[in-house]
Amino acid sequence: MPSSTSASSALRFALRAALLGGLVAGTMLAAVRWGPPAAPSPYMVSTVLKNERLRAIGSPKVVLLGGSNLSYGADSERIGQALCAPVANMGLTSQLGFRFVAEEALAVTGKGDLLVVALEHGTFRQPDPEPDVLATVVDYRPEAIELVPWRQRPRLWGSLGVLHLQSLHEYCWHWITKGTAPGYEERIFLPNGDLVNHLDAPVRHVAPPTAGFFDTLVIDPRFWTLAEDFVTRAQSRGAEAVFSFPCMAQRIHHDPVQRALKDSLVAHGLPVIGDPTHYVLADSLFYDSWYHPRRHGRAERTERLITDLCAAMPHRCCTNEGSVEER
Amino acid sequence: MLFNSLAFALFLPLVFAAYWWLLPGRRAQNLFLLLASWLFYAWWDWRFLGLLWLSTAFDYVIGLQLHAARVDRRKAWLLASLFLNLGLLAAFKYLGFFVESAAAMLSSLGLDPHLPVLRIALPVGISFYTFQTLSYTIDIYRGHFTPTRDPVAFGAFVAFFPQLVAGPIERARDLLPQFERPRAFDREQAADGMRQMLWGFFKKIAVADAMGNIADAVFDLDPASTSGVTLFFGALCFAFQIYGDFSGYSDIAIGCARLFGFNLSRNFHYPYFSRSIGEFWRRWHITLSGWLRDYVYLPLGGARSTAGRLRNILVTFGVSGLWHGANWTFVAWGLVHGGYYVPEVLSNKRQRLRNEPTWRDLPRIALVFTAVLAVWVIFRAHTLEGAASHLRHIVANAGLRRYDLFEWLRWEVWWPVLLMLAAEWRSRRDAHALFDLGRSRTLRWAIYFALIIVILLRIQLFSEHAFIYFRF
Repeated sequence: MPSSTSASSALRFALRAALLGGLVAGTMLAAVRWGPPAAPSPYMVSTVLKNERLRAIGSPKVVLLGGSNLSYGADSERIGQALCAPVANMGLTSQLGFRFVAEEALAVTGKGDLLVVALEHGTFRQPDPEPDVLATVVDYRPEAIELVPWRQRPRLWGSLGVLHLQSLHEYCWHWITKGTAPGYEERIFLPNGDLVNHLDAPVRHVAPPTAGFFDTLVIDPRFWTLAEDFVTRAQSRGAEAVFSFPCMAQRIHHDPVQRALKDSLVAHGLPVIGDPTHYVLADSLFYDSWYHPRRHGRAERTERLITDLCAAMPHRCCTNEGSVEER
Repeated sequence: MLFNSLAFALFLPLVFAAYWWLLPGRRAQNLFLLLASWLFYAWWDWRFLGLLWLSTAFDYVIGLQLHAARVDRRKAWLLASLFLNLGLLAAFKYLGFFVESAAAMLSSLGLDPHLPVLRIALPVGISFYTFQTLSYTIDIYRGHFTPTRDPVAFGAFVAFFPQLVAGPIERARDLLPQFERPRAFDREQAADGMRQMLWGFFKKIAVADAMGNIADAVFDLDPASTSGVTLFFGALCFAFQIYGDFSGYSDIAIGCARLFGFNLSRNFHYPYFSRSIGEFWRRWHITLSGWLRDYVYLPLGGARSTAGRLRNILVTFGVSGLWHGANWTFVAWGLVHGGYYVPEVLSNKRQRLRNEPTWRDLPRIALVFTAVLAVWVIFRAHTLEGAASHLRHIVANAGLRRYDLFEWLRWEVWWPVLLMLAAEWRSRRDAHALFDLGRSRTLRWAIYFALIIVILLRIQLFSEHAFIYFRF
């Protein structure tokens, strides 16, 4: 065995280090318990507002599920007019994962609802929520923690502590420099969940896509289980669920990859509408990401989505047969 | 496994506890460190563990054979070691670059070579551990070192997790004997190691990552339509990013090794306080500079003649650039540094490190820093044309825009950099900035606590920030 002097000296040292670690952990816990919310931006706080909206509107309704391609790139008002149903645009960030958005919608899905899913490329690789991102919403919705596997929870708890500490610092700094607390309650989304501030903004520089990301198709096997379960549970509640595609810039479009994606979805028996190539738009129509169209791109994407929805489900399209409510 | 990850935060205490409390003696500790180091490496990508094993096994055997071989067979064994280690580097790091460069050259001659585009994943740390094992066999060949007969100690020397993936590049004569003698826990050594790790994390997370975000954004812009002030601050941010990143890694590595009773070589000695380019290179990435001096510059002939010396300096700096990456920008970066160094050599006014810089040296320090800053642009740019355009437009677009100044001179962006510079200036005679914090325990603990809180406040949870030198 190592010498007892060495071992006991190392133990004393480790205890002191643990004491320092404990002080830091205690500070983080205090920030979680008594500090301001962890959400670092009004953007992430919107998950609460979106969830409120989703719960407030009854069935039948249209729910748009996916990442930021929907918040930036779908005109919910226009879709609502075309389908004669209220729309909740739940798109926020792909890093919340398909599991999160699916569970969020299924919790309030009712008869006659239409769930339209449009996922970004990365979500097929990682259908679970990113713990760091999810940590920004669990303050408001603690039940969301159940969506993270146990092995990722230490990361989530650590992130929660760090985010609270950063939030507290931001509050203090803001108060010192401006004399008020920062406006986390600031609403940057429309009530229906759309983001419109960027529509007429100039194009911002977009970092070139990572080599090997968009030109390869990687689908986590867990995605299929989740997707099949999602469709089954939606149907059991009297709703319909369909998979569409996000709008994307020409720059990241790889035809064989997108075709393979659609073929895989169809092969797994998932209801697919339209074709991914319908949603590929010129690079110049995008804002700060290859998934975030500006005004013209958003309008084009919306019309194409409506066309695909009406073609696949003419009974949903009120221009053909009147509104859902009328029926 | 990244030092700045939750996995490492769990890995380190577990390894520390098992190492000091459970393991009976040096041999068991070495075996445990070896297995822990392989786990550390495999966490990133287990498939490349085979390369590490291959390099370790091959150089262990060659070391023994070299020592035992007749004089006329020794060179053959050395060549075998060179062939394997440099072959691995060439295959994984440079093959794609050589093929692309050959294709570009043939195309410029009007030929259409149809050479394949190679995408080979770079095994992390390969540039570091191959240089480390190469120095082992070369030193044995030169008769400077006797090979070890303990394969576990040798394996642990090659794979020692604190310095496996980004150095310091250790010599066998410095590190291997530490694996071959018993180690006792030294509280002072461990406490100082923790302080050095803390300072390393501060430099990595509070300085480098924040500076990196700005540098990345600026270097992605089109220089022609960007103001000179923005381009200048982009370069400045990169200079602090790469220093904070790499010296931060080295501090963490050295401090971490001290927790286990090992002393690694110093890798940075406050290089931005240098008064000449020669001094800069005696303070920046010291273990690589020493390696290149001993295994490239001196074998080429060193300083036997003035003309030969200049040639050898440029070749050595060129190799230094190429070591950093398979791109002409790195080669150019090395050559320009070599060019900077030449006048100093010719005028024979090399600044010795006999004393540390003082306030009176600040103008010279600023001059050297500016020269180094300009060359960082070449290092960071994607292409030589991009670097030239960046540098040109710093001057051409110099028309000051008020908005730019407000944008760049924000206190919350720069205070960690200023704190780093102030602390390191104060400690410029010490091994690291937290080496001497006074006798008051309360004050020391307050500093530790404050630094940890600052690190947590500056962590960017939503983006991955691997260490830059992992790419090399």
